[in-house]
Amino acid sequence: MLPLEGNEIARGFDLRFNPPALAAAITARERNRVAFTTPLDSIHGGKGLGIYVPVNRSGPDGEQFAGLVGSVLLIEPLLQVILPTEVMTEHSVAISINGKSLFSTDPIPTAVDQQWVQQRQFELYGVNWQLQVAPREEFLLGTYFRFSNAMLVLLILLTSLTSLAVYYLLISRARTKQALATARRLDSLFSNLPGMSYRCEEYYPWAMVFVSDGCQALCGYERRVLENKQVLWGELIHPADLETVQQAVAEAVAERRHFDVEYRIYNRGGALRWVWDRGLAIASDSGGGAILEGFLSDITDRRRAELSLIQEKAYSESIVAAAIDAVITVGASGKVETFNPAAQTKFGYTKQEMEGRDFSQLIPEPYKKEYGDLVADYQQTGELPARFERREVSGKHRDGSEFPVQLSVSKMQHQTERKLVCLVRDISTRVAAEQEVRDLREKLAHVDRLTMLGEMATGIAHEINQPLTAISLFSQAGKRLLVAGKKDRLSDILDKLSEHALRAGAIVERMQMMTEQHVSSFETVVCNTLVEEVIALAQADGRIRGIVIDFELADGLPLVSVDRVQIQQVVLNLLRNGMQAMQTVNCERGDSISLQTRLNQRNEIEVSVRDSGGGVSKEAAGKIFTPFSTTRESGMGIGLSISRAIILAHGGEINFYNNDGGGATFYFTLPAVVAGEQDG
Amino acid sequence: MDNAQTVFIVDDDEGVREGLSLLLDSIDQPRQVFASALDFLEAYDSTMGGCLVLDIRMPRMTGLDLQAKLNEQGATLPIIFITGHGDIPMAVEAMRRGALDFIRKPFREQDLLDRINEALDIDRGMRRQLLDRQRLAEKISSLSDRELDVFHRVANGDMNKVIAGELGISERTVEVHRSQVMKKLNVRTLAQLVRIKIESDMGHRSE
Repeated sequence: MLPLEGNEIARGFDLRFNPPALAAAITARERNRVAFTTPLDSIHGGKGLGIYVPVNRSGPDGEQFAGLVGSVLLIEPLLQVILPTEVMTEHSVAISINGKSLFSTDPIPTAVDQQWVQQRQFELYGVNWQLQVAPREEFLLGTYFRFSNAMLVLLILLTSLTSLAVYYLLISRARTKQALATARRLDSLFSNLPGMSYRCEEYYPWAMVFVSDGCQALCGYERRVLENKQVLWGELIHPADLETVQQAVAEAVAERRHFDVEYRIYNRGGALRWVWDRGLAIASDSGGGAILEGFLSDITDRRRAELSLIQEKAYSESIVAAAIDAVITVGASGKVETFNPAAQTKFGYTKQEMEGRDFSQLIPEPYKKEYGDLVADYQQTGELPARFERREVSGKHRDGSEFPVQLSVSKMQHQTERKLVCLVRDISTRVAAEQEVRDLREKLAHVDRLTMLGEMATGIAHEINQPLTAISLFSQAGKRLLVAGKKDRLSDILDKLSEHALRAGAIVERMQMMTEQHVSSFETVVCNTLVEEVIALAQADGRIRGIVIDFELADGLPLVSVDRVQIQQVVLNLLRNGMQAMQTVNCERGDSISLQTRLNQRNEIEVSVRDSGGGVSKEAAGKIFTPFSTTRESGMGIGLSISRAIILAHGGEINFYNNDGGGATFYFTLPAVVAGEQDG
Repeated sequence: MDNAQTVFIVDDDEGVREGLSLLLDSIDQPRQVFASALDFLEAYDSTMGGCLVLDIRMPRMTGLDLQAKLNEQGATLPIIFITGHGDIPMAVEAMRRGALDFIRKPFREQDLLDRINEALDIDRGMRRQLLDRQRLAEKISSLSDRELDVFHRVANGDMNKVIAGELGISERTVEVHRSQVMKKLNVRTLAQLVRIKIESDMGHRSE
């Protein structure tokens, strides 16, 4: 049986022509299992065990025997290392295999009673192991515990030992191969390293005594130029770095340790290179003080990369620091990692206070949980829902106050970590400005309503007078009938009384609603109801003008979400404008104005008012929705501009066109409420 | 003719119409209601006696418009306008055009009833006058042409002699015609004759 690879003569053993070894090898091959030899004698003395492990390779016909891996286990040194000292000193131990002695400390002392000699036998890998342990001296048997302990330790050790030996054998072979490959790689690595080893004088200008071949690559000079002291190393060093180098070397020499310093040198071409210098002061061979030995390597590329990285970082950091918006980075666990000055100003926390704390504490309810979940979800999925990209929410200041912000969250893939960058823009000013515009619009709308109602006072008074007159007539007629004893109609009359009282009340209520300065509130309503509520007032106005209002309200329109009073104001405005236009032409084209509701092609609700007045002239058309551009003598001319502002705030549009047959049609649209949004 | 007097109510407001109807029903006053001026015009003819309670402000055709139409037709129906509180200028215009009165809403029912009664009286008087005038006209139309000439001149205060000269007849013949006229017109004195002449002239002018 020849070894498969290399010279497999274990130290001190020759397995090649050793019969027990051959026998074990054959066993290993035939039985396809680990086989031990019987104890072998080393040529240096001492005993060992040969171990053979069959190796199979998978081939076309399945597993095929490829060879054996063999090793020798030296028993004695191993046992001495691993057995507890007290076992070895207090006991004599003998181990044999298949009756042949493998190891023994000394002969079993005959003075000791045979009853204390413990023997154990066990079989492992087809080999019969015998183990004998006896105390060296009888008096030590006083502690039986200790003795049995020794026995137990031995047993365990031996059993695992052999298994370990087999395992180690396999591992070590694999390791050897690996180490060889690594060594080869390192060799080429070293030879390619841009650097040089050197030996030089201890003090500035550090004249070189010896330099390696790398010197040309490092500084452009040939070895001899340096070694002949034509060029002194210290003179190559950048003047600004010189003091640092001197200090580093001096300190290291004084403390008898390595110096380790990075500095710049001018190479032969005059270019500046960064070098890393690591060395040690050692005693000179000639005895004349110390010399320095070390290694220099070119780190220019690394420094350059570092510098650009530092610059880049400084650049982005200075941007972040100077940013008006708060910039907050959030780590994997939702903790704040950076917190720029703007963030500190806006949220009232210092950087130190905030770093490491939960990002979500900056977000008040009802968004808090959503943003808390966002971090966790993002960690899991790596996905960032689109709605977080730019969104108007609130921020929570340290003092508990809340302020409106626009929050943009974006992903930052940081190697393996998933982080989030939050950009927080304070939109208080904008929101406040918007609120102010809204307030102004509401105030103006209120003024417009008051003006309008003022102008409609006659009509409204008339409209209230009608039911009052009816009430008066009914009650007086009722009294007469009562006196005359004709009581059969009284019940009817009382019904009529209440009906007309309610009618008068409804008008007053409507008027009151229009005059109140209400807080804008959106509600989801049926558009036709909205229009119907304003009919009474419009008709009152129409009566005074001798104009009839025709209503054409489409059935089954979707709901709208509106400020009820404001939309009614717009309807009233359009109706009154139309009626005024008709009066200016003395109603010569007819005395009816029509109000229509319908669903247009874009699925919006469209409310249109079609008059038969003079139409809108070209001059007026351009500025008709501009405030104070009235063509009428009365009124402020804000009605249409207010109407436009109201409709735009509702997400609709308002416009007009001249009718073919004369007059104009003004219309506005309102977006329909999508099912499911109705509660919102 | 008194029995035929009807109160016509024209108002576009149903409540007011019902209230007025009920009020008139309660005093057993015949009435007819119309929701618009046009409805009334369609149904009305000048032989109908009574009075008109008219809302001054109505769509399509206002109370004033209706009044104008009736005036055109020579209808004598007395009109009581119902006005609101902002309608004074219109009410004044209505009065200028011969309306009997106007009454502001809301009103006491007795005020309205008083005016209605007044209006009905006037209507009654006017209709009687009209009848008198008709009778008179019939009497005058029974005169012969020559008698008519003599009647006008006598009533004018002309002397018989002057009349005879103008007509180219004898004074005696004038005397005969004159007594014939007095007989046919059923008068005994010159003063009575003169009065018939004035009445008949007024009747002509007003018609």
